[in-house]
Amino acid sequence: MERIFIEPTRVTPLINFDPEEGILEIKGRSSPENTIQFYQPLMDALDDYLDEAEGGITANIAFEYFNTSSSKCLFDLFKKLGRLEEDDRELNINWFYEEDDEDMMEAGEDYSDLLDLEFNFLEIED
Amino acid sequence: MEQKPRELYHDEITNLKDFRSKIAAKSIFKEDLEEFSDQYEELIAQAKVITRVSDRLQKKLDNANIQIQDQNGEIKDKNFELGNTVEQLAKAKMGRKASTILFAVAIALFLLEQILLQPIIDKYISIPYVGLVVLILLFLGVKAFEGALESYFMAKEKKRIIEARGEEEGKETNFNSSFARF
Repeated sequence: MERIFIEPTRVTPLINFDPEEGILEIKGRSSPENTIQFYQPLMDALDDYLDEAEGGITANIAFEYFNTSSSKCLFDLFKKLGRLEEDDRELNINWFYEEDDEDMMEAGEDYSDLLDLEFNFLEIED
Repeated sequence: MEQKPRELYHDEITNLKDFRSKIAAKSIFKEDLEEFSDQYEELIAQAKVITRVSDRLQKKLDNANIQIQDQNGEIKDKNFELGNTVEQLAKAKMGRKASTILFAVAIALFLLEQILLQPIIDKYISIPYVGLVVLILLFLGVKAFEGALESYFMAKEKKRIIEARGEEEGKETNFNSSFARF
């Protein structure tokens, strides 16, 4: 399983998935031109990890903004991560949001409620 | 072989296609209907959360836009104030320059009048205070010339500022076009 590292741009977030460490990081803004194409390598890598590896995942998610199609991809991503819990594997989701950015915090709460996943909400101080 | 990128809602579309093919084959069972209704329920839940999340982030963008508009207004006001201040400073600077030149001219005229004109007046004109009247007229002329000189320096300064700004913008354009090539 290969590590996935995608540099951030003005419209795409940083993506770092290290299967050896079981760390997933997504940071920045997400409004790519082709959202599915952008997230596909990560989704495929997560599928491989879920099928082949035995460890858990710590996901650090820190978005400034994401568009509607990205919110669907995030939904699919969290659904995949939820499979870890179903298999009794460790799952930590840290949802970072900027100080006073209640909208982003509540967006995390929406995902957490709908998918019945436990999120750790962490405020990033300016 | 390179994988074809999947479309948005790929899994949901696949489920729908499967269900429709079962209808077409007339092989629908109660379990299929239950499964399909579960998938439909999940899709509604997804739609709800995605709409809610998008609305929140739209609100965030709207707030950011309002903030940018407010800041733009403030920047415009500040620019206007800055423009006025720069003009006043330039005017004061040019005024000082004009005054310095005219002071030198006035001294030169006074000396010339005293050295060249005054002996002639003393010799040929017997009316009292003619020299003084000539001096007053000279100074009034110099004072009238001060406004014209100040306007000339202001126009020159404005031209210089416009040319300097043009050069700066030219440099920026060159920089941007070079940057765009990357």
